[in-house]
Amino acid sequence: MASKFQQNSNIAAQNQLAHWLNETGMSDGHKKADLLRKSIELLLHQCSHMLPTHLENVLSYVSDKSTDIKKQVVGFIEELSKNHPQFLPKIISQLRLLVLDSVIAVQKRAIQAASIVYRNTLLWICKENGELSELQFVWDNLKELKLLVLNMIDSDNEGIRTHSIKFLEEVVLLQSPSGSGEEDFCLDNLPSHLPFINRHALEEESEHIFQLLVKFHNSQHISSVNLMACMTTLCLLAKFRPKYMPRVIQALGDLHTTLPPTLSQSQVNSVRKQLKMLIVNLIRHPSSADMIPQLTQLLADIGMSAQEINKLVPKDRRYKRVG
Amino acid sequence: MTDIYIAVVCSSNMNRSMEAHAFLVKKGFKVKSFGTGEKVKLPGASADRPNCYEFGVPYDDIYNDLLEKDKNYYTQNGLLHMVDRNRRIKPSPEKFQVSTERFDVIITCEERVYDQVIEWFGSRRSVYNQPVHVINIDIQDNHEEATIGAFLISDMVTKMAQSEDLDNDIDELL
Repeated sequence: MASKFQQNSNIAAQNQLAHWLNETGMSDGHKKADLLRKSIELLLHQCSHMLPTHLENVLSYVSDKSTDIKKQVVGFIEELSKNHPQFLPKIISQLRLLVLDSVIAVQKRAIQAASIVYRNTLLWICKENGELSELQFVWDNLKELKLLVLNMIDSDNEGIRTHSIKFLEEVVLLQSPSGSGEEDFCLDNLPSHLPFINRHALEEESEHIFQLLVKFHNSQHISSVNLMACMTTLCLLAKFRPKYMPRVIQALGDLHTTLPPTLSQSQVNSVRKQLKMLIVNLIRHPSSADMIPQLTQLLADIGMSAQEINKLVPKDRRYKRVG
Repeated sequence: MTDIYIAVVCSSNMNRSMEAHAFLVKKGFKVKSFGTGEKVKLPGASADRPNCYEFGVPYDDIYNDLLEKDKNYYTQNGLLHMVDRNRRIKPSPEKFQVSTERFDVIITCEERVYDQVIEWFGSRRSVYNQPVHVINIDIQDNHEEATIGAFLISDMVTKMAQSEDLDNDIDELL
């Protein structure tokens, strides 16, 4: 009885899906966006067995004129990469198109999704469920996508630059060995026998991107929003990849001595506040154990009293300050 | 007008964030409100004995509790009126640190609250890698200031919604 009921409800869902998708094609404006959202919801969660049939249909909206519709396609691609990575070969080139879209809002959403798709692709490659040629195809597309976003750090648009920083942060994390002992995906997890994956080259690339981020962080013409995003990114990298810690502390120190001259007084206040919070946060993190003297010195330079600083340093690490 | 999703955050999700929440909803914005404190704190009979509740306890229950404790006193100091207003907006105070929603802009009503929001974001890895603007507007925690604060927040949010590309314009706009 139960299975018959299940079968009937499945058929009903499939019919509903076909109906909504047809309607989407014939509608416009808010109605169209709403129908597509409902179709995607149904397709991903209740009728995922219908994905091979309807995938192309949804992906075809990549060239729709509505921003909302294109952002939904990005969300669809992002979700597929997580729960149905076998479709990566079919969706990866569409994501590239969306990163290059003419609408800034779509571009930003696509860059944001790209970092998640990048992570999910690496996880998929590790499982090696696909054909070698398919793996390589996705990998090559990802490489090009990475290059596209890398160049966007010099975009004229503020938001695109912020999103690129966040994407590059993810790339550095994924393409560097862990070293922090935390359970997370890192370069070491990638298989070493696949012909198109060169771990050494990937690590070099992440080093290069890290340097690029530091350079961007210390550039004189950076906006306050991007500066704060970049500071947060560098500190996150230092926490999860302790090998970067000394250079991040150096970069924060340089920033403290020479703030960009273009910032207004309130922006300077915000940046200084953010700087203090990030350093305090770093001190509390276990990966900064060897760098406590440098971090406390920086806090003293910023204007924190010795007593305040002493309170911040975890008890078990205080002795290192004199050592 | 662009469709931005806003969070207004104060300490207890009672006065400042709710005043702004009510105001923004009336103007048609997509908004939620939160508190970042350990507990929901309301003034009590004396300064050292505040009324404390857990986040998630319905405004209805808080209203009835205050009513039972001292109807006259809590009517006079405006607390009953405030909680009554709140329960018409949403069921209960919500803790910011428990929410998993993704906002475009988060507005905090006090520097300490701003610090708690930033601290909370700094303590975990991002899931969606989506940037968010966090803006602090200092508002004293009393009825009059909350009303003025809600006006200011509403003005700012209206300007934000008029921007075609908020990320690009926000520096200038602020």
